[in-house]
Amino acid sequence: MDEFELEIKQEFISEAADLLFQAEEVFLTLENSTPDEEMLNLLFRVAHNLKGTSMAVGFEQISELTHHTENLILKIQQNEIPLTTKVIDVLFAFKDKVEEMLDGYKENLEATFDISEVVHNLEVILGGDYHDSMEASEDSPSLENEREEKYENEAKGDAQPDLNLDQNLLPLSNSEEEASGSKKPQVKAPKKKEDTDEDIRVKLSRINKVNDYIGELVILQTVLEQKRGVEITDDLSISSISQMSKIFKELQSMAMSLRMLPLKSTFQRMQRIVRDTSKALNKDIKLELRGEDTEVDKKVVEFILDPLVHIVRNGIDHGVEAPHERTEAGKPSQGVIELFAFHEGSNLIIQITDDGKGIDPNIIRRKGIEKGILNESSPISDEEVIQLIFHPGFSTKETVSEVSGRGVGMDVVKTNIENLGGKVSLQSKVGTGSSFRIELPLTLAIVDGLIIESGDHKFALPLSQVQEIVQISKDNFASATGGGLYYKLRGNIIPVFSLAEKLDLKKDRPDLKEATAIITENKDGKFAVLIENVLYKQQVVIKELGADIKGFNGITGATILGNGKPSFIIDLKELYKDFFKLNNNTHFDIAC
Amino acid sequence: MEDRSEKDITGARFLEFNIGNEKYGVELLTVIEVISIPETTPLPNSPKYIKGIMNLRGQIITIVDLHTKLNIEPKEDQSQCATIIVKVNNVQVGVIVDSINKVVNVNPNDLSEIVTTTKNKNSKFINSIWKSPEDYLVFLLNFEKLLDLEEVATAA
Repeated sequence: MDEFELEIKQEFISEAADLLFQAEEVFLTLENSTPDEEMLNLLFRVAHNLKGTSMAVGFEQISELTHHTENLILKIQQNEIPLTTKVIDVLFAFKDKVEEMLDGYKENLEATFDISEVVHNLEVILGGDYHDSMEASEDSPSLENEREEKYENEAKGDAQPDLNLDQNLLPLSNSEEEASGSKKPQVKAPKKKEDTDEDIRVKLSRINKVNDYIGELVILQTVLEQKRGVEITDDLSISSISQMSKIFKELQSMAMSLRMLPLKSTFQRMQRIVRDTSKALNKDIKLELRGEDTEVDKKVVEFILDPLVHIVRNGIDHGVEAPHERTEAGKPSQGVIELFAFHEGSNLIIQITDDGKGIDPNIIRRKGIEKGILNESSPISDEEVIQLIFHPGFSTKETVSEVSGRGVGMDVVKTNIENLGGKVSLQSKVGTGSSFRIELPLTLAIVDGLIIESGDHKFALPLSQVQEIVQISKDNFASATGGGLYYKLRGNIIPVFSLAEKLDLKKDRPDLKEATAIITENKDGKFAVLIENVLYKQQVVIKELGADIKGFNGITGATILGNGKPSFIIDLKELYKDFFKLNNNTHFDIAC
Repeated sequence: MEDRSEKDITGARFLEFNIGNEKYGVELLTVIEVISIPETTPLPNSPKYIKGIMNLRGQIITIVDLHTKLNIEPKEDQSQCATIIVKVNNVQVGVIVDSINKVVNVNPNDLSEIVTTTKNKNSKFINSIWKSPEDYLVFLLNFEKLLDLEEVATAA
């Protein structure tokens, strides 16, 4: 495949994703309101566009699928086919399929897909069978299954390679002209608003480069700043330097904002999840979105999707009751799940609130004791007990159902969020509902770091991993030859490791009678890490390391300190992963 | 990649440099720039030939010391030492050498093969030997193999 073909295909993939997004928005609106002409026109244009461009760049399967859909939309426009739930379901299935295909093409441009089922469904409707059948309820589970399958297929990344290269290539080379020809209308069609800012697509790597250079400028700037008034004394230079630093600050925040995206598209996908899941469970649930224009780093946007899907599905499955239960409880029969995003300091907060039955702390407490996570005597508050649902080993088969879990529990949600340097917590009131609160840093490019010293080296630790900084003294510390070091933390005994030893650096101190230690926690429990000194807290800009040394020794990246020297960012969790094992479960500190 | 056929190398230009008293060459196309010896931050627990990381105008770059890697005594006079920044397998890496000589045009007819024996430990890093018009020999390095830092991770 030559470069031109490659380029137009890749361009198509990203453009098609935008088109699908628009289409889904319309589908969702159509479902809840009477179709107006403009909406249908938009939909028709989108479909027509998709058909034309996919044909032009040689994705004939997408073109074929879209052709049927276009016919369907045309008939809807002409009032020949009413917009029944069944019709909308098929439209959704179409969108899912194309999305799946686009994902497949991303992996392998020669992939082929099985589109027969969707085509068949489209044909059935075009053939006149568009009434919501009696087995509507049986219909939706099958949709659900298909979607589940889709997720699994995605997970396996199984875009089937097509060996018949020629088949795909031949029509393509014929249609190069068409491709460039048919692009013009495409740019215009989807854009309705003319008075808004224009958009351009920019490669993320370029934006990162800009950020790198600006970061470097800022460091040079601080060097000048330090000399200002000392070695640099003339008025003009002094005022220039202070003006420069203002501009640099602006520039830096501007550059950071280039990586920011609104959460809208992520939230939009939740609409879909709520619609499908509640249908499959015969529940009536409305999703309310607030703050979907909240902006957050592109990477955070990508990572947040899975945890959100999980929590939302969980809320639908276990949280919100069936309509008749709700009526009995004196609630409106339609349940509400609310997604609310907002900024709080340098964090993004997403709250997922449902008005369902809530979680009974007593049940959790009992289960916790059953599973040996809790001691019967442990005096912990209801609020703390509820957080146990994030504990690994708490999710059991009983709590995993078809809808809300594919064998993964809330602990995975928690781990994922923590890996991004975030936090998640739950509040719940029996009978009133539950509310999850996810706290995430706005950007993954900058973290709050703690700069420490150990064995003559300076390192940055993500502050989110530092629970406490303690002074170790002979009163709270014990060691056994060959049995390790231990620290007494408010009555709990936790293991102590030396960072210098682990990293094979010069020993910090000959005797450990007095030292500084960082208390942190991984899946095996809390532990303390001995270091030489805590220097200061700083926001550090994370620089990617080459694949060559990334992940080596728990090093997740590097950052450039104020003096211009690079320093490694160490992930203590990763460094001590599988490093130690505690007997039994005394590590859950509320159990001690 | 095993050994480069003569065709590959036709008219290629190489950057010639010294390590110890030996002459080596790297294909000019992989060279990004040449800088002086940078300040580096050492990477804990890493093999000796990894000198550490440096800050090159905001970018973090791993620095490899070719003396240690190839087991060559460094020259006493360090004043001419330089770091060649190369891009290999899409990663930028800096290599420290004793001095930079010049850019040379390599005629494929002047190339000969390196002898591989278990004793010639570094032969796997050398693509071929080039005889210069002035009659000295230059060893043309295979930076992809030389800087295959994946082994760093496994060495740990």
